[in-house]
Amino acid sequence: MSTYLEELEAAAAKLAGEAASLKASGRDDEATLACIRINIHDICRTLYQVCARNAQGEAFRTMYLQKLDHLEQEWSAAKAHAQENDDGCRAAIEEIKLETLAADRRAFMERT
Amino acid sequence: MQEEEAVRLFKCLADKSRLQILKSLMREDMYVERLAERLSLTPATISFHMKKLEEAGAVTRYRDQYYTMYALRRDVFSARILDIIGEPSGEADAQAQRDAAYRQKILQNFFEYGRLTAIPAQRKKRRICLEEIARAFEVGKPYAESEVNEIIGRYHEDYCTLRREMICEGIMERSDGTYVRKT
Repeated sequence: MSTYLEELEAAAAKLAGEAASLKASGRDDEATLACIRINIHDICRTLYQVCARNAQGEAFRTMYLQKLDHLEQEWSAAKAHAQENDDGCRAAIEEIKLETLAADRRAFMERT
Repeated sequence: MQEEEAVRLFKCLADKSRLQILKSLMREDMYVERLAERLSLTPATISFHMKKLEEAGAVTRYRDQYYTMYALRRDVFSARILDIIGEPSGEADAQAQRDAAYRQKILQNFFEYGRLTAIPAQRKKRRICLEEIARAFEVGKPYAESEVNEIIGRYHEDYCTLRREMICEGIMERSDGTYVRKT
């Protein structure tokens, strides 16, 4: 069974391939959205590594989940703000970030 | 359709997924989740595309019970591309202003106190100076060569060259020893 970090890396690599093929098939905006998902996986991976350097065991787990919670709050607020201003594109991007973050959180919970 | 609207629409259409969405909406009005299922994309991705299509004026939305339905703007797509291209361009005014500014700059560089300081070597600049001098002539009125020389001489001592250039450039016409300003 792969580790959490390996799963994030695999997801990012798969998306990179998808982004390239989306761009090649004339779906530039979706390629950009795929790149946004890659960035979220990278953020989750970096946060994981930072937390792992600073804490262990349950303290590490709590710290990491708190950081994910913080990101979720920020992006939820950004999505609400975009919706209030009728900025549908921005709201959709924030939703995609939140979806990716939720998937990474689920993967973390399953593997730790 | 104005130029900016046409550019926005064409840019928006240059995306395969958005074309697939429009093809679906050709069949019937749909909501985001239905489109997501049909095209195997996430609802968030469809929402993103729908906003782009709406901003470009390609679709419109309306409420139907709990759903936000999207419909194709058939009036937009029934416009002929030739008609869109044939619309008057807002760029024309800007181009005219740039041309006028360039012309003014050339005149400032080559005229001093109403006299031509040098005959420009570049044809485009020379023509601008010739046109400026030609304003001293009434359009359509015949002038004897001596009159032409005298009038051009007020601007520059080499009136022979300038007179010949005016003929070459089609600014003046010579016929039976008289000269007439054409435009």
